[in-house]
Formats: sequence, structure tokens, C-alpha cells
Amino acid sequence: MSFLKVDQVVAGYGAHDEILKKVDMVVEPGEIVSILGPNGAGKSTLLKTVAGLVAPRSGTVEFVGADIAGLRPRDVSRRGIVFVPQEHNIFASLSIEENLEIASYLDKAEYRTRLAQVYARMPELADRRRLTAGALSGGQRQSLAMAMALMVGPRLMLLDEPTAGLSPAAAEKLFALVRAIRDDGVTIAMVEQNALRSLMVSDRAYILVDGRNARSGSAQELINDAEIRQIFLGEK
Amino acid sequence: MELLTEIMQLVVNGLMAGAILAVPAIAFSLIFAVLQISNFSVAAHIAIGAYTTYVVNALFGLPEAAAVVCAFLVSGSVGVVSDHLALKPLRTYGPLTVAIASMALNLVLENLIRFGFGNAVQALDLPVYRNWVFAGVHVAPQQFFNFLIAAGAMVALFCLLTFTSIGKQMRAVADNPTLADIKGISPEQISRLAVFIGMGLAGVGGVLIALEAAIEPNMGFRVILPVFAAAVLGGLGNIPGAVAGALIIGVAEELSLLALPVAYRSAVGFIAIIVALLFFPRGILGKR
Repeated sequence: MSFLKVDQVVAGYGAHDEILKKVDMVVEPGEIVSILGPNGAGKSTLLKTVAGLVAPRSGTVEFVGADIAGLRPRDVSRRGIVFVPQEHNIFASLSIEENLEIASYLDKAEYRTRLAQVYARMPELADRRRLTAGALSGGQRQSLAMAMALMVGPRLMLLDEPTAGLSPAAAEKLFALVRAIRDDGVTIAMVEQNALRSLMVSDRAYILVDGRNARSGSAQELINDAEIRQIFLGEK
Repeated sequence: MELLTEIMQLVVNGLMAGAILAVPAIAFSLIFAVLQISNFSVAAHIAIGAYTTYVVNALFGLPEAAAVVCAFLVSGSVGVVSDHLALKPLRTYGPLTVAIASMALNLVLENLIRFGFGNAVQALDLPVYRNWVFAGVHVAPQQFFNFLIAAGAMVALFCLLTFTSIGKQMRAVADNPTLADIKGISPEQISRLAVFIGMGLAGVGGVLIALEAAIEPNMGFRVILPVFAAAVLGGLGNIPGAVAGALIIGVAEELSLLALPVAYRSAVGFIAIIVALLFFPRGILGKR
């Protein structure tokens, strides 16, 4: 039994729109798995299908042996899977602390403990706890979105382009945070544009092209593959 | 000196009237904030609140405070049921369709009231008090009492949204329903609650209008223009904005009497909407 198993999933947004054309993916406990590929390959749609935001038309999605395909987002979250969207991933009109409070809705009993942990890990949020979240910079917003995901003690985190729009320094910080979260025992699947940097923090990766599995393998193997370097990393 | 006293009197009357308008205006804005739709059946729910008061106060002889609570519960419940039956099935067709459907719903509810209570104007059984006079400005105790209920309703809503978990959930759904769903909150449930509280407040607004004036089936429709104007002026979805908008419109309507015949009073609402859309499209307190 796999931790997360996506099998032959077909999904899209409209009635005739197929973005994922029979995609497979397996994520094992404790891994960081990257999902890479060109624009429009269906990377985000794959995460959204797991998260319950897009219902698969066919195929299965299993999480620790249970079928979760087609569940509502809140019911997927209740099983310990937390999706962090690329955009609109915080409540901009609420204060930082209110964001964290709402984020702990599914595990209110641990609110105080987790709030202290999150503030210890991200002191920049603690200093601004009464501030409206919409006033945060890009990097701080992303920290808040990650902090919100940690408020429920997730088993699996799905990150949709966590470093999009961040400065190189902020992106480095975020990748370090991803590793630290994994070292705490949280499994991570992430979509990234920055393929090389993403492979360097990952254990394995899937490469999607036009809604289909193109390649997969260990991150090390893919980094060293000449064809991959040429297509995705722009090297000749 | 006499003009000054007259202006003072009009401003006081305007603030009192504005406070009453503010209650259905925040109802309109609350529903808009959470569901992103304009629900014009707020008008009929004003009348439902007033008729509930009529039944509770004039027919059963219960005190005004009980009437306020009953009006809130009855209007809120009718609001949830009518939204579920008439508007929810249309939500996928977009906010304009729902807004138009809400006007149709308003006609249906208004005519159901006519069916039950007739067209005749009803009045509440209220004691008459002597006016209070401060520096030549008259204030009726009933007006002041209404002002207190209106202020109480606004403070209660503010506290609910700011300090309670359910209020924060409501603001979270208003801000970003998809993210709220990911965080475990049911946007449908929160929307239902927002409609209940919103239409309940519209009903409380109806009680206040009933205490001030007469009760008739189209009483809500008569005030829906200034109510909508107040919500637009404050920035749709902005609750403190709706209060500010209502006070401004209340005072502006009264002051218009200095220069214009009474028949033109309702023009103030139209002018306020035009001014708001031209100069403050996000409302006087809006910044989002």
C-alpha cells in the first residue's frame, strides 16, 4: 500500500476539457517529490485533483489505502492532506493571527501549541501577528501560507509553485523550510518552475508533458540526465 | 439662529433615520460580503420583521424587546428558506441573475404578506411619550429607543465578526471561499448563517421602521433604495461602510428638505449611488 497513489487519472475543468490524460504518481512517506514540466502540462491540476478542487473524470486517487477521489476539499484536508495554492493562499483581509486561527479549524485542540511552534520557526510572523495579512511582502505571505498548513499537523503537504514570484534569497529560504518540514516527518509533493533547484531538495520527481507522464525517477538521476538538462534546465 | 436650530433638528432627525436605515444596509452588505450577491429581497424581509412585530405586539400584547427577538428569528428563518428555494439553484448563473431573481422573490414574499394580512395599513399599540427638548431640538423618546436598538444590533454584529470563531469563519469565507474550504470550513454552511443573520437584521430594521411609521406590505420596498444606496456608498460588503453610508444618506435626506420639496427626497438615494459610483467605486471606507 502506497502513501499516496494516483492511478490513470483523467481530469480537467470543463466538460470536454482534458488536462490530465491518464496520469500516474506515487508518493511514499517522508519523501519530497517534485512535479515538473512545461507550462500547461497539468502539474497544478494534478495537485488540485488530489486536494479535491478538481474532480477526476476517471482513475483513482488513494491515500493510505482509502479512495479520496472526488471528495470535497475540506474532507481531503480532514484526512491530513494540506494543499497550499500558488495564489490566494492567505486570507488577505484577516490579521496574521486570525489566519493561523482559521487554519487550525480542523485541529483546534492543538491551536496554542502549534501557534507557539510556528512563531518560533517564523519569528517574522510573530512580530506582525496583529497586522492585516494583505500587507505582507511576497516572501512573508508564502511563509504565512506554509505556517497555516502546519497548524493542522499535516501528513502530506501539496505545494503549488511555492517559490513563484519570490526573490532568489526568499526562494532559498523557502526550500530550506520545505526540507526542515520534511525532516519533521511531513511528506511533501510540490510543483515547481525552478526545476534544478527543486530537484536539488527532492528525493524523486515526476515530469509531465501535455497531461501525460513523460519521465520519473530519483532526483539525482534526473539532474544528471543530459536530455532532461537540455529540455527543462535549458542546457545544451 | 432659527435656521441653525432647524439645521440641528434636521441633522438629529437624519442621524436617527440613518441609524434605522443602517440596520438593513448592514444586512445587505453582510450577505453581499459572504455570498457575493445583491439580495434585494431584504425589502420583503423588512416587512416580514414588521408584521412579526405586529403579531407579537398588537395581537399578543408582548413587549417591544420580545418583538425584536421574534422579528429577527422569523425574518432570518424565512430568509434561509427563501434563499435555499429561490436563489441558491441560480447561483451558478452568476450574480446578476441572482440579483434579478431576488427582486422576483421580493414580489412573491410581499404578496404572500398581502395574502395573509391584507393591504390595509397596520399600526402598533404603543404608548405616546412627550418629546425631549435640548436647546430647541426635539427628540421623541421612541426615536431615541430605536436609535439604541439599531446601535445595539450593529455593535452585536461587529463583536460577532471580530471576536467570535464563527465570525472569523464568516470573514474567511467572504475573503476566500476556496481557501476556507481547504481549511475545513463549509462555505455553504457559513453562507446559510450569513443569510440568517442578514435577513434577521433586515427584520429588526423592519421593527424599527414599524415603531416609527406604519406597517404595510410594501414598507420595505419604499426604503430599499436608500438602503441599497447606503450599502453602495459604504462599499458593498463593507459593514462599517454601510453604517457610515446610512448615516450620510439619513442626514442628506433630511437636509434636502431645506432646498427641495419633500417629493424629491428619494432623489437623495439615487444621487448618492451616482456619486459613489463616480468618485468612490469601492465605497467611502473602501480600499480593497
